[in-house]
Amino acid sequence: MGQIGSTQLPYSTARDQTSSDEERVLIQRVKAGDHEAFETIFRQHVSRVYRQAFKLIGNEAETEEVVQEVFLAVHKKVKTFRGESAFSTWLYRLTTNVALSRLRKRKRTKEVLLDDYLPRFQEDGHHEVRPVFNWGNELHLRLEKKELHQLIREALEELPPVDKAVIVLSDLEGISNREIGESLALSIPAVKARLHRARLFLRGKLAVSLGYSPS
Amino acid sequence: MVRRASAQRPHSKNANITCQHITALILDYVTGELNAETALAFKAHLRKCPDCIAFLSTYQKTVQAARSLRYESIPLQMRRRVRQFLRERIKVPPP
Repeated sequence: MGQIGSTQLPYSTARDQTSSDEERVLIQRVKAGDHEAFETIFRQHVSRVYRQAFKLIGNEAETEEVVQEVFLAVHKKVKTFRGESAFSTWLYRLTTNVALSRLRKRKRTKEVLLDDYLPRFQEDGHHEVRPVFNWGNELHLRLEKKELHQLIREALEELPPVDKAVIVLSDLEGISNREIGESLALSIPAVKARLHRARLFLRGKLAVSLGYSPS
Repeated sequence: MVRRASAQRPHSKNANITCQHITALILDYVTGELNAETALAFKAHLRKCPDCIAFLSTYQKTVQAARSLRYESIPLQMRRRVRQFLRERIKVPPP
């Protein structure tokens, strides 16, 4: 049986490695108040900050505010960056925290009971609804790609903020569980538990959208 | 009474591994993080349980679908607005 595998993408690429000296100098210049260096940092990182923030926030207007807030925070806090991790790691942690803070303040318009979409089991440990139908191949047959993506985006919006952050960072950003744990102050088992629950919830939502039981 | 998926795992060697256990172990299975003994028990259960094969397949398809989401780059106008905002807020002199 094919496995999904842990295709974790590293924060830093080979190009980042070769340019790490240049980056160190650039950061020193920003720390010294060099506006041109700050503009360079902005140009280099704004697209990734935007994409990461958009995945977490889900709408353009609020994402723009998050991007503003992130770069203001960079300007304000860059002196606290000690170079123990790559600057990109520091920056994407900052982005996660700014976005998560906004998500936590957001009033949740509709309360979704996660449990309604999680699998259920009988006393003996068997699936509650049997047989379990393998609808995996129906996803692309019955749903347009755009429709499928919209369903997933809507389901992500219904997750509690930390669960959403975990699945976005893991499955959409390719960040390792260890890095996610460090970013969100969670243990690795806690990251995995939230990731699993979020995936099961998404699975349940997709099952229901195709007319099947989430169990 | 109906039970939900929990992280309960079988205590004894491969004994009585149930669909509920399998569901709790899927994440570690798909990333290859199960220890050898548990992985064997997992696979042995799959061989005799079409329900868990179906469940695992739909779990994997769900993860693949989430990973297939694509996002646009920052719109040019937004990029300009943010840069202007930052220049005003931190008094960056125009180029």
